[in-house]
Amino acid sequence: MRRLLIGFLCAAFFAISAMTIQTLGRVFSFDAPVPAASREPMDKPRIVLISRERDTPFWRELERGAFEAAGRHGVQLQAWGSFGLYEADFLRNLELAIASRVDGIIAQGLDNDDFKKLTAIRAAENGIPVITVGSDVPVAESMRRTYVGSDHRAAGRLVAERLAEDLGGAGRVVVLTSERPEHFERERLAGILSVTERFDGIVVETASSGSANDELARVVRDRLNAHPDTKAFVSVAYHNAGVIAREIGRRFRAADFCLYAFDENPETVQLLRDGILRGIVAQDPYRMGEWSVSLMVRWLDGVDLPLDMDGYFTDIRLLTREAMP
Amino acid sequence: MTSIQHKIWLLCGIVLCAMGIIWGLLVYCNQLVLEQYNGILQRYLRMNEASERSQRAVAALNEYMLAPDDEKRRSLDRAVRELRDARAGMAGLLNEENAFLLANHMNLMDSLDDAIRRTVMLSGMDNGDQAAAFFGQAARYAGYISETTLSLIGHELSAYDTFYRGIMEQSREIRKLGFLVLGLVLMVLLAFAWWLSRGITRPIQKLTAAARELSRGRFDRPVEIESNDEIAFLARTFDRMRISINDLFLEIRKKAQLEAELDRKPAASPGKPAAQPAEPDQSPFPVQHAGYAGQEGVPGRGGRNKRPDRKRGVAHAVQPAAARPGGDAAGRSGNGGPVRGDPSA
Repeated sequence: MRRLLIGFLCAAFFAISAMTIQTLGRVFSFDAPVPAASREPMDKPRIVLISRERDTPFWRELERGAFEAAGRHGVQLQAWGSFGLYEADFLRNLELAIASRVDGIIAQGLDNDDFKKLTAIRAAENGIPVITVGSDVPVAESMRRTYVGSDHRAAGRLVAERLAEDLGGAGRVVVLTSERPEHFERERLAGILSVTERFDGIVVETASSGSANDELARVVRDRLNAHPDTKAFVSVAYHNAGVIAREIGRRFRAADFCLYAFDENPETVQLLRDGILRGIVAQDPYRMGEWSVSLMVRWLDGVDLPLDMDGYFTDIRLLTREAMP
Repeated sequence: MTSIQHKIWLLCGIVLCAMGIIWGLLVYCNQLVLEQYNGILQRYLRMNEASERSQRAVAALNEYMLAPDDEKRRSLDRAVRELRDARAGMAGLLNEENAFLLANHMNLMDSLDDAIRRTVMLSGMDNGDQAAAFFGQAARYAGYISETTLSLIGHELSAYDTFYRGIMEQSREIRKLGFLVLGLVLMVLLAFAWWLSRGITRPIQKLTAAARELSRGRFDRPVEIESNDEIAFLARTFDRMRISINDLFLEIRKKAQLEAELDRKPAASPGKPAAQPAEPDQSPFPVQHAGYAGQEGVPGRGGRNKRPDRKRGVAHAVQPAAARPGGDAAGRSGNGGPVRGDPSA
């Protein structure tokens, strides 16, 4: 009995000793990963990518391309953006980037005076190059170095050609713009008009609407009331194609209408599959992000001087139902 | 000679050492963690300071704009100096994770500095509208600085996330270590205390047993204690005492025997033997005497008495007299006479 007790105590002693040594080892080998303090100068260029629509698949894809290019070129890139179309936040981010004296700004173009003042005066004053991406602002007003993105005029032409074909060369078309049409909207409209003017039978009228769904529905309704013979709707702005289709569907078979959209997103693709939309302009946001960062790096390195002021256009193509898998 | 006192001192020393080691260990570990904590805290404080100073600079600028005088100007200059100090301090916070934000932050402070300078310059030139525009810019920049400070701190928190978790894990390990070491020390102490107490009580038990033997009149058992302390000393003294008593007793008995023989020789008169029963009572050790007397009388016990340790050939009582049936009374009674009859008689 006593021997058992002593044996047990000895075993306990050795067990505790072993555990103590083990814990001791762990305690003294403690080495938590602290971010290494670096003394080297911050010489990597800092580039900021600023958008107004971070929550869209389009912009996510663009960011992906931009970050990959940034990793390749060894520059620091941060994506700033506001969710939703809050211009104030966007402009605030732009001013913050300028005040932070980043090395380059890649921003979605916003066609208003504040944007132009910030880029043309404040950024230029600080020597910060601005590249617009996705949507452009004329160089004379914004002093941007270049533009990377779709050729919106070409996109307008692409849609209009398909539209003319679908209409058989005659019919009434409503082109929806936003209340203060931005540069890219005007470009798209110009592209559409450049094609439709060749057809005498096609009548194009424009209507403007804010991006709010009920306002858009009201505008569509008004147009249909005014001209029940309208055959086609094209929105060149950030309008919800689903709302347009639903509004038309209240009175007519939406599939009989020629509806087109300029932005590819899950909803429009679904509408295309359902046969409601006739075509969607597919852009290449990944390429835009990648290219814009590469061009910015080339500019900063002084390789390409000057950049092509007219812009660098990425691929566009028209998605149609026939082409869908 | 390691005395008991020495042993107790040793025990105290071990306890003290163990305590010291545990204390030192825990303090050292905590110190390590604390230093890292302090380093991080310092960073946060500095970031916050930068933000606060830019706000203060804008407030001072505002005061100056409202009522430009020398005192306001001095406080503005002081605020701007502090702002520049804070900006210089920010450079030390650079690490691999925050280069972008930190550069932004420092440049924002420069921009704020510029904006303040321009505001002061323009207001000095009585160009109120432009000065107001630059003041607005400065105020916005101060806001941006606060915002960037927040993102820096947020960034810092996530960058140090693994570190913080490591620290938490570490403190748990240290607590565990404390308990383990405590358990270990406790076990060592228990073992030591057991050994020490045994070293004291065992000899005392032996001594007690020896004393009991002695009290029963058995002087032939040497007191054997192997230790080397005060108890052993006591035991040796005790043993010497035993030997002395034994010698004394043997001597007395020899004398008594001689006397008895002398008494018997002159005459085998009947009156004489009557004195014999009284003789044992004169011995200081009646029990021993009885036992001795019984030794030859009870043959069954003889064997045990022929032990090799009977160096002195002393009569040895096997059993305490009290335990014997009859006992003393039997020895003194009339019929006891023949039993204890002297073999030589």
